[in-house]
Amino acid sequence: MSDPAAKPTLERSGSFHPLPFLLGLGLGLILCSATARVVSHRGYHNTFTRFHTVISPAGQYFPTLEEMCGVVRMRCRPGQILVIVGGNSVFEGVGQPAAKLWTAELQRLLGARYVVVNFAFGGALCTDGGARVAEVLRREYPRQIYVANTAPFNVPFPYGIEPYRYLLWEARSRGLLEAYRPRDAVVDRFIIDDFNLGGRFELRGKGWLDRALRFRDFWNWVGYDYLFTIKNPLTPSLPKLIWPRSRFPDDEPDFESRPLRERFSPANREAEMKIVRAFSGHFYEKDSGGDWRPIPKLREEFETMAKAAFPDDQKARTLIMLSRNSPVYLRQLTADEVRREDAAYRDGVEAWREAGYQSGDYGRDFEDIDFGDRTHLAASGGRKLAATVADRVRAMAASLGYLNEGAPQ
Amino acid sequence: MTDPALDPRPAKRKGPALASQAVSALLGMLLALVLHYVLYRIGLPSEPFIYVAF
Repeated sequence: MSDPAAKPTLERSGSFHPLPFLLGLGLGLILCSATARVVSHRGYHNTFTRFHTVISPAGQYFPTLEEMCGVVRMRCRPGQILVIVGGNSVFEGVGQPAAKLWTAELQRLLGARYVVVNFAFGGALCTDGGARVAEVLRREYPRQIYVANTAPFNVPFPYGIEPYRYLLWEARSRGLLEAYRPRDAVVDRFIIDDFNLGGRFELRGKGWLDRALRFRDFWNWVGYDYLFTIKNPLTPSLPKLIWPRSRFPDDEPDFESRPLRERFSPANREAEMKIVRAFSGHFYEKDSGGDWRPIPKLREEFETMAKAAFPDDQKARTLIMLSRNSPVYLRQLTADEVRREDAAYRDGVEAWREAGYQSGDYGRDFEDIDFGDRTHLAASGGRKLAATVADRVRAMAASLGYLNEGAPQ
Repeated sequence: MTDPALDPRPAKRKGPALASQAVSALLGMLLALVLHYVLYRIGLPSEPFIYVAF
């Protein structure tokens, strides 16, 4: 006969019931997961312009794939042509306030038949952010074009770059990516090289748990709409620390409010010139005839990764734009360095095209005032970029058959 | 049938029993919320990402 005194205190008191407790636990997890699925799928970024700093990893806010897809669903009807913009801070529009953002101008130029969504992030590769969303939405929005920027021969690692790599793991763990053997091989190799056994177990376990429970979707929604709980360098103290992120507008400063002498400070000139020279200098060497040519090993690495970066059907609807630096710095290159620079952009565009993508460059005819610093564009430069990209997007839409009624599927 | 007035056993009070079961279920739901949040937090990087444009 059991001794009632031996029962745990809570249960003995008659106020704790294990079965209802466990049912409540299970129901609570199911409710959180279901809520996350519904709100993220539907979308909750009512005033989206881009993932500005407060709602980006810089602000300890990590947008989820489903959240980003929700942003698209709120804006794009199935019949419209979806233009997803990815890439780095240049395409994100650093130095361009929301009203002067280059993607807003691109939207204006393309008109109502197109919907432009800016998913570029500071420091991201062309394979991060928007690239994942474009692939995940390939069936839901078959009329889509992905546009991203990079530098000549900058290697497009299929596994992206931190801190945005979580989007790749999220897409993989949910089976949202197309099976594409060249990419799978590169990513699998990366996992083996970069994660020990425990790390691989953790990666898989976290992916599985989040797939089932959607805790990242749920708490991002809570943080965006109701209460933010993560300490971060952008809103370090109360009360702003806990304000829902939706309360923070996209208040990007305007390069155009700064005079040119502040945009291109002589104090930074030497460091900036090193970067400008490395754009082509890192990838080029002189052949026996004294002409510049890409270093074979680096070119080969680029070609391998470019081939693996996107599935073949996505390559055809991807436009890669090579970003040029400000003429303030390019003018200081020697004639020989200019030849190398020109070769890098010409060969860089060609290499992307050979790998199956659409590609071009921009900035050759831009003026000093079109830049806010060495690489980021002021609003005037953004307008020129938008005009260049709009022409290419229209041409791609026509060649991909997006302008025909009812096509393509 | 036993007359409740003559039954020596104390009468079971259904109301309080249901209430305590509901409290247990609510506790379970609260723990679910906490667990859900902990899973979210441990997945975040401990150091913030500082982006320097270059």
